[in-house]
Amino acid sequence: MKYETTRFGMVEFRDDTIITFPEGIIGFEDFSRFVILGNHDQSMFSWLQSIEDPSLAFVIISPYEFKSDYSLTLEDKDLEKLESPESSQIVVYSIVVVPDDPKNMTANLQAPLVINAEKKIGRQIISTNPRHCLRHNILEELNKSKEKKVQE
Amino acid sequence: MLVLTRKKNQSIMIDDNIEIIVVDVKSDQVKIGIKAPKKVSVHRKEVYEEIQMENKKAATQNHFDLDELNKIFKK
Repeated sequence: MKYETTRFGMVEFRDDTIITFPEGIIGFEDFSRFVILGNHDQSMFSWLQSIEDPSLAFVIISPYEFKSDYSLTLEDKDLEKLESPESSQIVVYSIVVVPDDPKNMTANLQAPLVINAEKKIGRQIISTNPRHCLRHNILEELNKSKEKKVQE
Repeated sequence: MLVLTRKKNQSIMIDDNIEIIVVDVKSDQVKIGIKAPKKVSVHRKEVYEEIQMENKKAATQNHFDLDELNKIFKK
């Protein structure tokens, strides 16, 4: 399928890579179909591009990429809504906010996007873990992990 | 909006499976209990609104490209 986007122009993707968020993303409930764009080998970041609104796209990152001790407990109701994926089929992303100085960019760990990779169903869940904050500084976290490695 | 008056320990049923109970009332604070099926999500509204605002912020950023970010965050 081809889709004309505001940011990237015409993009082409296989139909079976389309991810459906049945309830949308919080604040964007009217849009449910997205594709992930970007080269994961070269970049920690990808784009979650809507294929219903050409201008709607989010920068996303896997929290495991920058926070080595990240873990997420999914509640039964979330698993049910994702059609009970095997744990190996669960993919987690955080939405990234990039302020004027990109060094201060933050990832939203409180409301991660959880995807059933097999069935291509996604859902933005709200984590009840108090350590998962709304604005987690990515660079600070990366530097912290580096320091830890040096100490080891 | 439907507005109901309830006293301590009284409750409200929504459909036949969600119960909202007034557990305690102290000056301007009300403690509320919620009995609902597991699949129903319950959150404080502020939490939900904050996430909504953060998502909107994330969706309206146009001042950078990923190459620029990758220079800062070398993989």
